Amino acid sequence: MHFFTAIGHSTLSIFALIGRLSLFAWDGLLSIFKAPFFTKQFLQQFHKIGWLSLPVIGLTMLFTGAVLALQIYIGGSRFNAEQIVPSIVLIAILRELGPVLGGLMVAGRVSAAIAAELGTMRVTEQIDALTTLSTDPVKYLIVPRLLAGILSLPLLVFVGNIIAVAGGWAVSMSRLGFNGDIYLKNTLDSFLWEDLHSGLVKAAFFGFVIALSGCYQGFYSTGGAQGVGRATTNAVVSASVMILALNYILTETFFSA
Amino acid sequence: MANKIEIRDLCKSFGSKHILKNIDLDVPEGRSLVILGGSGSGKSVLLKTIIGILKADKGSIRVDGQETLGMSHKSRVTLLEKFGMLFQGGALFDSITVWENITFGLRQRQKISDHDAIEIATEKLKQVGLSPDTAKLFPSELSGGMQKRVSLARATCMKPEIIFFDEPTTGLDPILASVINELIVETVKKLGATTVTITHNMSSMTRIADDVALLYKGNVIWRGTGEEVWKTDNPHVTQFIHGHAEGPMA
Repeated sequence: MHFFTAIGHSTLSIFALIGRLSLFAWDGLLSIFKAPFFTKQFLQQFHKIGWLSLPVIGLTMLFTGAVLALQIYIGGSRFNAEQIVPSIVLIAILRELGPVLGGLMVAGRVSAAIAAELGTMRVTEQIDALTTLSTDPVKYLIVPRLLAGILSLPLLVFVGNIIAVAGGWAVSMSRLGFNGDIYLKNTLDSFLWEDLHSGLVKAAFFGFVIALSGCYQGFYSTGGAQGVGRATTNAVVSASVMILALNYILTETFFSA
Repeated sequence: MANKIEIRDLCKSFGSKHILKNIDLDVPEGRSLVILGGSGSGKSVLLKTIIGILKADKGSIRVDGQETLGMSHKSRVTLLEKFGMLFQGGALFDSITVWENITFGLRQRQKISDHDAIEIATEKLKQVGLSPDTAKLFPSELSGGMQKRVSLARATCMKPEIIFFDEPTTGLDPILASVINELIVETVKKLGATTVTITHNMSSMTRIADDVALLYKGNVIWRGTGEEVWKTDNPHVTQFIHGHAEGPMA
């Protein structure tokens, strides 16, 4: 009996969490279109989420592009198809690895930071203080972060895509004996706007769930320092899982026949 | 004297835990009410419910005769302009400077230049006994006592009609606690505000209170003036104010 009770309890908890998260997301999204808009807060978050994540994204994508070129060369050489390296690197980066790896790296960095910041504000009553100062905490704290997440991740992924292709190009030239100009020509010949669009749209969704997860966990954090720690962990885990699940759904939506 | 705040039959629960049970409480205009009570008696929840940070399950809270429970967001924002609050830990915003903290509420409601805001903040800092140099520091650069003073300056910056103090002297040494008590009394007198204070500190209560209410297990079990609290033979009150381990609240 305890077994079934536990299953029921867990199921209800999951549905309750999904419900609360959906309402929180809906409230945040609606608030984007309501005055006042806190421009300074938005720019600060855009700087934190976007600009300061650039080194992490840059390094991740540089090595990813390089490794991808090596692996595809090894795989392709089994079928005498070494020339497909530029095309596959480009398609894999634009469609999948750019947004997903970029999203996961930013999730680790940004979701945790947002959850820790808002969680600390919650336990030190700073969020309550905002309310007493006639300021809607959702508009002041959540909207700028959601918007910064949605807008900055596509830009980060766009830059990351270029760096990844450059990583693949550099390895192909220096280690695999490719001609640099021909590699670039093949890359450009394989380029499709659809691949770039789909990756950037995915990135915008991932940016939203990264910010949403950090905001939700931090905003409803309870239990002092321990609670903030728990919120931070939950934010990263839930953002990562949501990115992977959403990636499947978006891929199905974009590329199913 | 008209009541500034009227609370009737107020209930608040968290899950199966009943924190506030049918609270009835009046705060007359211009008076200073101190709410006493042990840890977990529901004092902070009562304060947050009056302000609207927490939603009441049932009952009525009237401010200047206007029902506040279930009021629209717009009306709530207007109502909040009447309130000021000093939080237990100060609750200063870490990411902005002292002058930005003090004038935060003001700058949300009207456009003022940074120069004017700094001037207003500097004036407020003087009123709470801090030097103008403090204005450009961040809260993390201040001591606990300085943070309380800045928080008091922020709470009173908008000249609120009602000020809430949540354990204003907790964590301060007795001398600094006394200084903060004096500041509260002086500031409130200047503004002519109505105040509601939560405290465990008997010297704070003596200095601040016109009226006293004792909260126990979610009920107001005693109500009287600041003088009556020392004369009453109510066993709950005498145990609490003398800090006896034995008694009905044990």
